[in-house]
Amino acid sequence: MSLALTGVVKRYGERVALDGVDFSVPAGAVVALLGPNGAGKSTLVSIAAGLLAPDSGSVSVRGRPGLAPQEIGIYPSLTVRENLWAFAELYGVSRRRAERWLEPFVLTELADRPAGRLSGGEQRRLHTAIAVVHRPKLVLLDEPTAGADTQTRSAILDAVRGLAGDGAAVVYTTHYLPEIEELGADVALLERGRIIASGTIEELVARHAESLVEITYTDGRTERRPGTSLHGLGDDVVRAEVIRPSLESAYLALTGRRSAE
Amino acid sequence: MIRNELRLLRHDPVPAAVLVGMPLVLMTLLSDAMKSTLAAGGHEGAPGSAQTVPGMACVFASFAIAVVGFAIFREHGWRTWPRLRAAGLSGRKLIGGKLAVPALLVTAQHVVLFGFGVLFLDLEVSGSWLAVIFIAALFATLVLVAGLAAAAALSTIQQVNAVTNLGAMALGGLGGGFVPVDSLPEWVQPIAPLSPVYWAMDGYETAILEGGGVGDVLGPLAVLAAFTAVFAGIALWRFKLDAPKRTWG
Repeated sequence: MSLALTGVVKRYGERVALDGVDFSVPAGAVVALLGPNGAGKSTLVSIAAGLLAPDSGSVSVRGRPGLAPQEIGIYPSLTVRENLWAFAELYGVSRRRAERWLEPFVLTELADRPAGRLSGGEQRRLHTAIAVVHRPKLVLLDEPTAGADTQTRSAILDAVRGLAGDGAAVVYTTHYLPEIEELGADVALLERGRIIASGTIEELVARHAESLVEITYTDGRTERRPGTSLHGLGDDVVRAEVIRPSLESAYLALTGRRSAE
Repeated sequence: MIRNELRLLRHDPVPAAVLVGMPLVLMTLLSDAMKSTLAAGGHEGAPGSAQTVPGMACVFASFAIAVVGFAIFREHGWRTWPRLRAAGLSGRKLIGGKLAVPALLVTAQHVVLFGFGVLFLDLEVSGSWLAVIFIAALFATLVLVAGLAAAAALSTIQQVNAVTNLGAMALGGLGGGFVPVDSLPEWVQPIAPLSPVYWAMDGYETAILEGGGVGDVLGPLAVLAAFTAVFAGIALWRFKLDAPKRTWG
């Protein structure tokens, strides 16, 4: 395993962020870590990256992981190229090897531009490229496409597929379920510090998903009914949506919430 | 790490240039006026640079406290601090990297200010240059460690700005960095030894004006070492690699 967490507990004062988490990722796999805000995803990533120590449990990581935290972390006064150099040097990677990541992240033409003058999407691509500059065996991407444009999202997803294809294990936290389906990633669902479900998308859908009708009323209330029938809805309904069995409906069934909430 | 600190300095050299250039201007403007002040204090015939060169060296080296603090806080502001930690750098390497460029800056300050003083402002060391170097080296160490203590103990960049910059000015003035302590108001003079600058200036006066050698400045050196130890204790006690720091974000 490139990453193995066993019985990991992490508390912040009284609050339990991770409550006995077992989580592992083999080489070459992409595992999407899902869960509502506050479920413990970033804490898990921070522990895997060595930034936080668990209160109990064990963590085993193969090599030095590549980390792209949720918030963009780059040197704004340095150029794109220099940002890659800066982190490559820390890992003993040559500048030439570092610059190989310009192309996959669509940064070649921006290489000599100060990072602070890039658009949000361009910064997000650089931020992610920095995480993989040393070709890590474990890549930890914490919401790498949050607020990203289409080009950035596509570049990041391509890079993730490429890294996994080269044998890296990738942990990918996100709220965008279509990305996970696009990646064909395995899924682990974290809720209140516990992994409540895990497996392939097909397994989760087969086990937990069912068709639902989500009804929104004029007073703002929402209600979810099993099935697909829209029959008998009253005048106080402003919107009714049939949610077919999918990762989204499995997520909804498991957490009672939409993934983007 | 150090290479990247130098890269960041190359992209924004203005603050460092100001910290070396500004004291040169002040030394040049104030040296003539200080000649009479020194004479009034019993150093008849001494050039004003005997006060302004070490004084400005102390005051402007004290701004390195802020330089160290900002070097650490800006990594939090840019969100690069967790990335540096995730790269597996030990705390020692991280801190060493952060201190290297400020150390270079303080060294450059002293070389330029004393060199300029000797070449253009008639500065003469009547005693031991080695004593001068020891005082400068220990004072430089003190401000670097104080910067680390400030970064460890303070939690917002506004605190760093206020405490380090105003502190440098206040301690510089109190310790005789701008004018000799015996020219300060009488009520201030008894509290002047609370400032490390006072002890550095005491040592400089002994070596530059009174012909003192290394043995004659051991007292001030010991006090400076004690201040350094206190700051080092604060840094060791309070510094946590995962401590949250609030910056401008």
